[in-house]
Amino acid sequence: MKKKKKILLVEDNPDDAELVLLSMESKKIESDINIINNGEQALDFLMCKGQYINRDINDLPDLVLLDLKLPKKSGVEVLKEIRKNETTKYLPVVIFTSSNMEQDIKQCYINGANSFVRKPVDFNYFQTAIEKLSNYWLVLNEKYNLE
Amino acid sequence: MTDQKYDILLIDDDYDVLVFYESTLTLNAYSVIKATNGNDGIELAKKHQPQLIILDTRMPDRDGFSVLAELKKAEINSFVILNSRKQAASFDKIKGFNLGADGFLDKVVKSEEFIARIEAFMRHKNTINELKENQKLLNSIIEYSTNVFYIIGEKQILKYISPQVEKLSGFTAEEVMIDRTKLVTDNPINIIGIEKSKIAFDTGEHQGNYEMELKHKTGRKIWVEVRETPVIENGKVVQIVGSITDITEKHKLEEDLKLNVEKYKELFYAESDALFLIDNQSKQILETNIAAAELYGYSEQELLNMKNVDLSAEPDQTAKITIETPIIKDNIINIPLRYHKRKNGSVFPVEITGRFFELNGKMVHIAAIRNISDRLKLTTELEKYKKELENLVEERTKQFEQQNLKLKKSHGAMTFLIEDVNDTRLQLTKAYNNLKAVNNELEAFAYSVSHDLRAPLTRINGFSNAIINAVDEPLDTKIKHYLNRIQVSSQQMASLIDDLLKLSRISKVNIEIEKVDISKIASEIITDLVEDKKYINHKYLVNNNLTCFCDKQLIKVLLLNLISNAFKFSSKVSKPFIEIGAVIINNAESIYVKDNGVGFDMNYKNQLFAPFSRLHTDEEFDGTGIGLATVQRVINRHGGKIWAESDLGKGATFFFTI
Repeated sequence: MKKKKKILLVEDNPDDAELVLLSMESKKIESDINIINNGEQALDFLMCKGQYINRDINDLPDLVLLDLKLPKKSGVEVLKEIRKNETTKYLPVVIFTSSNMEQDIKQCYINGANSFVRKPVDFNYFQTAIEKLSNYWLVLNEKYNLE
Repeated sequence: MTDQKYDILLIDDDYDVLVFYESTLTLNAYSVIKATNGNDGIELAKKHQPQLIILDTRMPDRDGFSVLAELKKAEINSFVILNSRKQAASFDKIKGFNLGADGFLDKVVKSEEFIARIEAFMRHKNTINELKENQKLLNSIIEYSTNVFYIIGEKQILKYISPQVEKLSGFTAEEVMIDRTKLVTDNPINIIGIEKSKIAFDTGEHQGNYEMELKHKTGRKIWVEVRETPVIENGKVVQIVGSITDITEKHKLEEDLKLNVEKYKELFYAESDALFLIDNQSKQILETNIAAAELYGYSEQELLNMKNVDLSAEPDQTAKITIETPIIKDNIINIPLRYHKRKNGSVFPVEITGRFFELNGKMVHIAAIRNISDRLKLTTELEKYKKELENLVEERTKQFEQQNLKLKKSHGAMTFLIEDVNDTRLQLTKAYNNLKAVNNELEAFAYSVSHDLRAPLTRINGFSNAIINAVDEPLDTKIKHYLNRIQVSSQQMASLIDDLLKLSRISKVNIEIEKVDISKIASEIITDLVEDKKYINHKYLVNNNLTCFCDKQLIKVLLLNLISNAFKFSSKVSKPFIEIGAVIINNAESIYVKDNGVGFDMNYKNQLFAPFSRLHTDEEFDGTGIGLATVQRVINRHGGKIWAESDLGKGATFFFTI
């Protein structure tokens, strides 16, 4: 049986999270998706800390969809931590946000984002974006595993 | 040590004669020494200087003449008498006298006659000695005297002049003897002397001393005083004895004095001040000058008959000071102001300087009188000017003080102004900081807008879409329409937000001015635009070589807005045409974007560039109303100008200069 690809969606707004899920459903994308609504928890998840202490540290997602505007730790800070940590260093991180501010885009790439995608307002485009992202990062892309 | 004095020396080779003479003389109380030959005799004569030497003319080894010559040569002063045994020949006597013999003694045998002769010789010798002494005295007088002595004989012949004449005149006595006229200058005063000398000779009467002007061999003038005494013998003048005294120095002093006196007299008379010499006791005017005569209106003669008090308008004061002034030599007093009166009675102010001194045993004073009417007038005038000046100074000082006061006030005002400026600056700084804070807030706000305002739109759009999918049956057309409206609106709002963000960004970025190829950028924009099916019918013209000094990114935004507007608003005409070019307006190159679209009502041209203002409905043309506001902002950032011209239905032209 083909193992489902895993997505970590870091998104504080449950509506947006639902739209992502809706899109995946409508585009028939099968994946194991974890939704975490703040940056700190997302890091705990990845580093197996706090409530995720019993998680297997090597059980990393195939893609992290990271919103920028998050409570507590911002998306950029989360990104920085991911790139700093040895195990998560090469994790594919796609910024998925409403902003298209230049300084945001710049900051993300400087800190090692793999991609920057703006959430389209038109839901048709939104769905297409999710579809394309999934196809690329979960299907086409070969990720680098440390072990 | 002086040797014993002997009266008589006998020199004779005949011993018998010697003994005879010796015994005779000794008997008559003469002391005698004797020599038997000439050489011994010379020795004894030198040694004893006898009064008388009786010398034998004929002696064997050396004769009397030779001895006499030697004696005279040795300057033996003794009276020498030559003795011969027989009557001496006349030529012998002549020879003897020529050699300096004082007498001859023929051989005598009688002792009485011999003694008588010796005594006669002795007397004769004494007389001669006396004469010699006198001569010596006279010589020394003549020699040591600074005076020159002379003797003039008959017919004005100069018989003698003392050697001192050389000291006086540079000419030797001999030279003067030959011609004495060369001593005398042609000064007329000399004639008086010469006349006096003649009269003295003629009359034998003393004519008194006189002065003459002589000249030195070098030409220098010598003044002398001459004293002449006529010498009378037998009632007849035989000669004149004179002495000359050099009085050049004295004469010079006298001359100088005379000159000075004359000079002072001249000065006295020429002095511009009125001068009076006044006797203190009698107050009589002794001397005066022309200036005085002129000042007082009297003649000099009249003045000399007046007293100083007669001239004073305050005679009591004048009299008092004349007498009471301490009688001290060289005492000088000054009276700064006194009033005197003229002959015509007019009174005038004078300044007096008096010098008191003794003259010929009387106390006198010289009074120098100066009319000070002019000076007084001048002083009064000066006083007046001084007052005026003082008033002026006072006035100016007042003005100055007032100005100073004003200045002080101004200064105060200025201080306040500066304080105000400082305040303003502080306020400005505060405002600037506030603005900065606001700006930061705005940025944060813009960020929020970008993210937070947009995010809900995504959801509205998303979920309204989801409804369609969530319902199995086909939706009622009405519901479908409503859902569609929700979706379009959310999309419109999203693009509005994006435009607003663009607008805010334009104000924020730093501009970099460079030469930008407008033609190229416009062409690129048009190339993109015409790919849209909507604009498939559009024709366009982009003029070449359009350039502009501006920020490339901002000008791109500007051109995109203007050109896309031009395409949009001309999309409904049959033959849409867009032109981009440049034209000179008011000496400035203006770039324009022209279309032949719907145009706009010029009455609303002021609203064109305001944000969110739209001159068309969404049904006619979509849009956010932000585009031209963005354009205006780009122009503002460059300090340029933008304006539009249009006729409704005939298109619009947008001009801009940067």
